[in-house]
Amino acid sequence: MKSNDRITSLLLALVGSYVAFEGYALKIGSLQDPKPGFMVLWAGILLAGLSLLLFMKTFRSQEAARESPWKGVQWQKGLKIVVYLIVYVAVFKWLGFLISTFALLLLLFKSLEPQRWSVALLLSAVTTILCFLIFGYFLELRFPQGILKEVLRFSM
Amino acid sequence: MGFLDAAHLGIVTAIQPSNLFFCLVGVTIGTLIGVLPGIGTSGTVAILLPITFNLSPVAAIIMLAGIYYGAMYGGSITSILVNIPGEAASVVTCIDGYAMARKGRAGAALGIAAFGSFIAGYFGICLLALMAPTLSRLAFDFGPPEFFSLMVLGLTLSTYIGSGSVLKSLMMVALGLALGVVGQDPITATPRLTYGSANLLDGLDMVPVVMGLFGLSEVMINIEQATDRVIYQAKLKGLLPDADDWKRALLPIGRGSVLGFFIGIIPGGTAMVSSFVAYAVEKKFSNHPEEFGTGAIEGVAGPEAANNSATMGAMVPLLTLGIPSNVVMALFLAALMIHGTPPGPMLLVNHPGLFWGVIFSMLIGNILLLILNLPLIPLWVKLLEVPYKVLFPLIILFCLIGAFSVNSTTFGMGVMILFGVVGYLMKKYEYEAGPLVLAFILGPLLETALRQSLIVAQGNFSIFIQKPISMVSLVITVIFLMLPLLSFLKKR
Repeated sequence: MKSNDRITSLLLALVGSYVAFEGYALKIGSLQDPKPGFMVLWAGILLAGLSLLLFMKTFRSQEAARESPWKGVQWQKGLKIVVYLIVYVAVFKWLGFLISTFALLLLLFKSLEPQRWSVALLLSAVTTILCFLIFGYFLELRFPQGILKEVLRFSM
Repeated sequence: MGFLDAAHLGIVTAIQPSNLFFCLVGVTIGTLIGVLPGIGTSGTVAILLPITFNLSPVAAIIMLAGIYYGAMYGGSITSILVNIPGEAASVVTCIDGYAMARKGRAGAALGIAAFGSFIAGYFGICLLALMAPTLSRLAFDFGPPEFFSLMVLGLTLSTYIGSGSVLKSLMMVALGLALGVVGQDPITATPRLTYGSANLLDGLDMVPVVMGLFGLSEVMINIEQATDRVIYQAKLKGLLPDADDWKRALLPIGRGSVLGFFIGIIPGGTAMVSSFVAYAVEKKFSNHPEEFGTGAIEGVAGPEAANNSATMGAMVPLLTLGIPSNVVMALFLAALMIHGTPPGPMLLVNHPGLFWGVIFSMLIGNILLLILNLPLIPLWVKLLEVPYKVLFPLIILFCLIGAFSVNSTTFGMGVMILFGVVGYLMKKYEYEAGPLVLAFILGPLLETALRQSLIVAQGNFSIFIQKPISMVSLVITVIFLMLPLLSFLKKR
């Protein structure tokens, strides 16, 4: 849609202008001796320039309006996924891999698509344990233990 | 090194038990992700890339290569049986492949797809083995101006060959270049766009960026729509094509192999592009073009040969020049750099075991794929019955673990989520991620080549036109960039 292209091109032009400004603030140097800001400046100018070109093109374009990309789709599910993931990252180190991953999987299996509790619980538990064994034990990734570390230390 | 010595080294390397094992792992995972819609090769290679850090460079590349060409085999299964492409490169196989299945000829379609891929794979590997040493020797004479111009040409071509608007793809190239400057300046180590963050001093890591753009965003797009899969239910019989099938399919396989390989070499010339071109060519060459769309075996044989051959062609610029031609090759570049074996003209000189080991491993891998893809088809069909609501949480979890494993910090996870949202919005508003990732990877290399060229030439841009390769590359770039303007003027 033309209005979508207008908005996105303006946003990208702003991003490009900001990047160009940051590049200018660093040393640009000269053609004989380009400095750190050289590429930053020109990448920003290129982005801003192309974005403004697209913006101007939307006024001349005669293509037929296309359907909105948000119509008729359940975009709220994508938003839920992002929210769950942000919370997951926030609590990952505190709760530890096992608890936070089990909780995330349970939410993903259960809250986005219809699924029985027994299936969701079983899949979440099995997947969490398998991933912990494969990645944490065999491949030696250092997953955080989180509160389980405290629990184990307290019980000993 | 003579060819016999190289072959001996390659065979000895490829048949080491650990390398054989990782070849099998790679082609199996490749077939799996090819079969399952909803996760692509780029996302999978990005997810598994950190895991390869613990492997030897040879095993790592053998496994990743196995995933890449294995996915081309697996994608045809879903296209033929479910009419949903398991891989982008198998989109066009849906047209005639599924039509053949509905006529009761699923076995013949699956068989010719597998055999066609096998023949094309061997053809591509042979051409790769012949071309790469020669190109590597030529590339010894390349300097910063040549590399700069070739990268500029590559980025420009990648915007043309994609499916979306060229202007929007060019904008994504610019955005990718901007993202690529985050971190320390490659020459002076001055922090750029790091905002004082220690995590950004080494720049944005490619793995979480690619996982977000291709993995998480894909899940977010797919989950919006309910998709019901109807799998062809009748018993599969006759996986070996008959004489008439071979008679019709042999030339398309040959043409597809050649086309696919050379399209794969061109930046942006992905396996998907090669399959579309091959389909169009077969329809043109056919004595019965009206049969296309109703179950013409040529419409399966040609594209499937092309997409597998393209994966081999894509390795040519990466291994000989160090310039990736698509996103997966960009991930291979990262893998090779991380393992201390940078691709380019010196790869064959410094690491002949890696190069020839991978070549001969691919010969073995294609045989394994023939075994995996024909007798084991019922197993893959079973997997197709796994609903997406069970698959997508696993895909998300693998993306998270992969992002975490880069530095064992949650910063990578955050980057992955951010680029997941960016990738999702890009898909919504029809901006392609491929050119962005290519520019993001090539940006630092391009900048270094540009600055070195300007320093050597004392600021004189004529250095780029004094070198023949550089001049030709830039002329082609300018021609491609002027095409839209010429088209606009012609309309007026």
